[in-house]
Amino acid sequence: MLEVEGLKKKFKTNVAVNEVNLYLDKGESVGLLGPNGAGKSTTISMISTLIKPTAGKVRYQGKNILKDPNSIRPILGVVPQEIALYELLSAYENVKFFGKIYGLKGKQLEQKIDQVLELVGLQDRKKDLVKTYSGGMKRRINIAVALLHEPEILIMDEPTVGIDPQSRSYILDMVRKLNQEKGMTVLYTSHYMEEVERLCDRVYIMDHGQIIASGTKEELKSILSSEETVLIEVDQTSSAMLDALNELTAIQQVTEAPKGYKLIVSKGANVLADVFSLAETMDIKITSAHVEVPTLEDVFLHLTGRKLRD
Amino acid sequence: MWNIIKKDLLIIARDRAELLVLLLMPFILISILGFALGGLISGNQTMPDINVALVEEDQSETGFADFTAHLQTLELPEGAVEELEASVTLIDPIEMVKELFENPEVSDAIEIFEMNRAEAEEALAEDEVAAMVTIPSGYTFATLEKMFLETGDGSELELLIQDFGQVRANVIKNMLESFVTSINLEMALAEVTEGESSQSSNDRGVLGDSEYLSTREPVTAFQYYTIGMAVMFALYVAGTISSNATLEKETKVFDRLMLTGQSPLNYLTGKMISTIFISVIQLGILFSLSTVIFQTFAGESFFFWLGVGFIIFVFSLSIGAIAALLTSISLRYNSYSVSGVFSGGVVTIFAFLGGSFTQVEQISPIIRVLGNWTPNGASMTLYMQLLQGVGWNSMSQIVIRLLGTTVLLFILAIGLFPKRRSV
Repeated sequence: MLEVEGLKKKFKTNVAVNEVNLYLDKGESVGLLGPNGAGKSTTISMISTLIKPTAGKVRYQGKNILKDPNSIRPILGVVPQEIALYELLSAYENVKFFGKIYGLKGKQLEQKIDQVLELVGLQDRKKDLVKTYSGGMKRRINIAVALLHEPEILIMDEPTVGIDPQSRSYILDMVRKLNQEKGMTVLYTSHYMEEVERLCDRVYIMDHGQIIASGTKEELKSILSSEETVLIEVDQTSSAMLDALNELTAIQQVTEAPKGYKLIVSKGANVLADVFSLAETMDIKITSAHVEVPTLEDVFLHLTGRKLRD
Repeated sequence: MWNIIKKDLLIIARDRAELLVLLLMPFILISILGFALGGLISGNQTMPDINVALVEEDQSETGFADFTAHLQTLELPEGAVEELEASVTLIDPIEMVKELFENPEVSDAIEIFEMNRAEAEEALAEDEVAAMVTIPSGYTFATLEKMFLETGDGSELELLIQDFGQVRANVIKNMLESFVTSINLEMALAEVTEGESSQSSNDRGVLGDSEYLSTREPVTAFQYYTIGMAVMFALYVAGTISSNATLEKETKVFDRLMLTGQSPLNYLTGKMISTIFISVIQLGILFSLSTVIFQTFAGESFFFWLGVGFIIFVFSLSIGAIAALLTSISLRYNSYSVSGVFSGGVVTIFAFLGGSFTQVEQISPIIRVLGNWTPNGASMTLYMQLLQGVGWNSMSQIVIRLLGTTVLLFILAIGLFPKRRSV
């Protein structure tokens, strides 16, 4: 449905996006996962035809849309990371304003306004000015505006940044519903691994402007199939212990975790005995130890040596 | 388009800080300056240098010849015609007017420039001269007829005043009145001393009068500062709209609008029209409020208000074009600093040049000329001319210039507007 080929964006000397290739099939929910500054927003701005790429192509049904942006704009719903609303207008006024700009009129407009406000759960607060809303409510109206014209492809740029867990959960459920019940194709960017894991069928992992891995969640996790993540909790952490763990040959990678350490070890390697022995010699008490199922976060850590939120 | 305008109006109406700047601040300043500087505007100022255009539409020779010919048609006693012809050669009414301006005391303050009517009107419109004194065709004949034959309506000098305050207008007006009075008095005394008449000087036909084409009362401090503050604060509308556009860009509302298929030109035109609407409403409120509370323009005719409305519209067009230009530059460079510099600095400079704070012609004629090239300065001149009753012919040049500037600024705004997708 939508293919991106060799997409590149250079700002003066800084290459923000380099050789990005990705595709979206109809009805898919695809995640673009990466830390802040990875180039996710620039990539989706180019896909949305808002920024002209330095090089590369974006094809919609085989046709290069960069030559004719208006051919794709009517089927795109873009939810920017920013609250792209007028704070001094009410939710209803905002939605109505953009609805009219989209060319909706009369009863059809009113029906669409009701539908999207119902969907984002803000019917009862629709007359209130947006500036009086909580962060989560603003984010929901931000999404509502992008849904007014019933787009085929919904592009969401970190739509849950800075909001409370309830609002986040509401938004994630809503996106899932749009994808699964209404068949909307979704491109969802985030640096929250758990959101992408929850929502997306396929994932692209991006770092430093490049796609470093892609595939279904299972495919990505299989990158770690030769490794296991062991989480140990201790009564006291120390840099000496961290250094000592790094010295153990069976351990491939060590990072600090809350109350302890996260170890990536070769699958089947028995490191626990060594770790317990090391703790004893350093007079550190191990309070718990367990082997974790790998996450996309672990995949990212494995690929980049950094956490998603570093 | 109306959707965008309605949205902009709603946002401004709900922004208390903006309303404070656009409506309350100018009104407070009108009140303060109107009360505090009323005396200063009304007089007691240093007399400025005054340039006056002298338009001579009559010729002494023709006047004398017509008068001599006229004498021949009258049934006068024998020898009277010869005596009158001899007397007439001693008086040249046109020269008497010129001598008035050549008087050393007068010439220190007033400089005379002889021009034809078209040149004088242009100079008056450009504010190169403060007044235009016209010696109309038939002046010599009418003066001599009244002076020697006591027939006819007498002669009239035409005075067209172009002045904001009272000082320059009063100097020229008083001077011409004194001139006419002294001539009349001399004539009356001459007759009394010759004992030829027992009539009082009041009963005698006077030489004539000076006709004031600008017959209106001088501009009051409230009128001056209502206009001055209104045109100054209207400039802030342009800054506000461009600042809002930058916010739209920053919050990606602009992107959202572009994604709906809006053309950049449509967006820019929407911004311009919103500015025009807001500016018209703002100026309308300020003029009305000042009139209701301070009686600033109370009692003015329907045509005066029609003129005010017209100038508001033309001026608002130029404010709209400024807003479009500022919006283009702000979006191009993705910065609030453009509207910040405009509102924080350029408005003040424009307001000073345009005469919003004081009558700048008293400081330097160059400043006045520069000020007339600013939209607010040009509009202020138009309002003052309207108040002084100056005809539309004289005002049309400034209107055309203002409209020309508007078109130029909008074209520039379109040229500078960032191209789609490279934003």
